[in-house]
Amino acid sequence: MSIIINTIESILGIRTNYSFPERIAKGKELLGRANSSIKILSGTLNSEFYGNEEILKALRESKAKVEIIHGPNVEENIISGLENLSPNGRIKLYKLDTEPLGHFMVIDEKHVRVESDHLATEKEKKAFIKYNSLFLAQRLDEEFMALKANHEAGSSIKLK
Amino acid sequence: MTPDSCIYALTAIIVPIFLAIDTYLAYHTDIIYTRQAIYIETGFGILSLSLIWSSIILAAINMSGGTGKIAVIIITVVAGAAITALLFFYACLLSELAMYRLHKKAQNNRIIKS
Repeated sequence: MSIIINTIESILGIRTNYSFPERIAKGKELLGRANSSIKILSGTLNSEFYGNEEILKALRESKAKVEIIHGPNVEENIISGLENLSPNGRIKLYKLDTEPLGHFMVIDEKHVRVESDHLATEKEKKAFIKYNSLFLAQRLDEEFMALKANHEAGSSIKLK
Repeated sequence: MTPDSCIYALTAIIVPIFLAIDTYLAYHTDIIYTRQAIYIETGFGILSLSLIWSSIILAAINMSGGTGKIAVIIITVVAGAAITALLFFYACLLSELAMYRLHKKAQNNRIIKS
């Protein structure tokens, strides 16, 4: 029965945060699939997730280029923790002046993790992972690149 | 009503119900990934695919007049695989649309801060 459920979940996508350990395990699994790129759009880079040793290990051991766009209110130890993972500049962080909305993660333009909306004081309520997406990963990748281009040009952030 | 027409009728009733449930779930992201929704999807999915394959096998047998076994197998495999692939594609597309709607909702909701 679990094989059938897993198959259905892989078709529908996977809800990751039934529990915290599952959220970390699924996040680690997703990051482990990266071959060329990991693109993350986040607000405060939640310390429970981005400070977790399993997640940091997955990012450290990945061969993929990592780009993270985050909001202005991120704990300094999270920033330095991520920057120190790769001294050769494989991991790049971009700080925005305002909080980005609609947080997501795109892996190799193929796999995606999308968060539901949540308050600043809340952890993410729900997040969903879709492997081998048909169009969503590419669409979110374009949004990420547009946001990054705006940031690099020094212009104000325009969310689609 | 013959057994064949019973299978056809059941297929004609169950498959649209399955597609309707699938579509309904895609528009309600909050419930699509609950265990209950996945059980419903699994149950209706298996039932629908079983009925579709049964109908195709029966139709292929009836069309060949019970003689050409190879023709029956070819028609069954090709038509069955095509319809199964279409259903899987539809389910994948709906789930991604649901996630995209969730993302847009998060973008449009100005209370999000982290």
